[in-house]
Amino acid sequence: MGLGSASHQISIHTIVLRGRLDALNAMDLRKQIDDLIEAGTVRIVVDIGAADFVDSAGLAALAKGMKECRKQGGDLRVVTPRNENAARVFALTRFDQVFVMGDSPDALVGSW
Amino acid sequence: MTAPVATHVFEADLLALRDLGGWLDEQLPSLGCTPEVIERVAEIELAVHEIAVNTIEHANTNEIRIELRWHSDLLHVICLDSGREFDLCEWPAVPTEPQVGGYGLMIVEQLTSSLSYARTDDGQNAWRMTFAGRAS
Repeated sequence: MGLGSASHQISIHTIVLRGRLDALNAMDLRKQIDDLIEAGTVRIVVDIGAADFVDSAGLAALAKGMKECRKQGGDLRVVTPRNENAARVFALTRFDQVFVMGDSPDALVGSW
Repeated sequence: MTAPVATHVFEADLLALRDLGGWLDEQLPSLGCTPEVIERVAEIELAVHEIAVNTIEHANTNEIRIELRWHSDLLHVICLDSGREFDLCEWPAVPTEPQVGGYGLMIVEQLTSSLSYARTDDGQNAWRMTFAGRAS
């Protein structure tokens, strides 16, 4: 009987964003995500657990990144904002059911 | 008696919009809004912010005038600008599948009791919203 083993290392990158994720800085986030994907990282966690405001432009930046990551066999997961005002936009658009979301980066990374 | 009105003219600039929440925080109590409406200030900010971002990105205008009025147990908000007329055909349908963008007006519709758009006789875009004590 032959036994073989192999270890696989996967690369996961976490982006941390505090304060506001809105139309003013959504493009910066999009660029950061695009750069990671271009460099071959398609498993990304965006930690907006400490965000206090998220608008539809911020949501769109996350959604675009998620779509691209999934197309390449990865995913973009989101730490749920603890501030209910920042979390609201996910519920209103039902994106809380589209993104894999969790309470901490560790919870999201651990489930990969 | 005329209902009290609060007015603010914002520069049509995304950075200027970050002052919106603080301004609403100050104005709602002085307009006489009920505590139930004041509690919704973050939702009101999000709705007005989405309209203003749409205006900045599509109307090509220099400033946005926001008027608040408390009347008949409703907060009435009007966003006015002198930019390009909004084409009602651009009002996005509610997405049936997740898509990357186009959620701004859908969010506003859910946060408001009413939402309407009109081009005024003097050539302004007028977005009118009302907010009740609870999301309706």
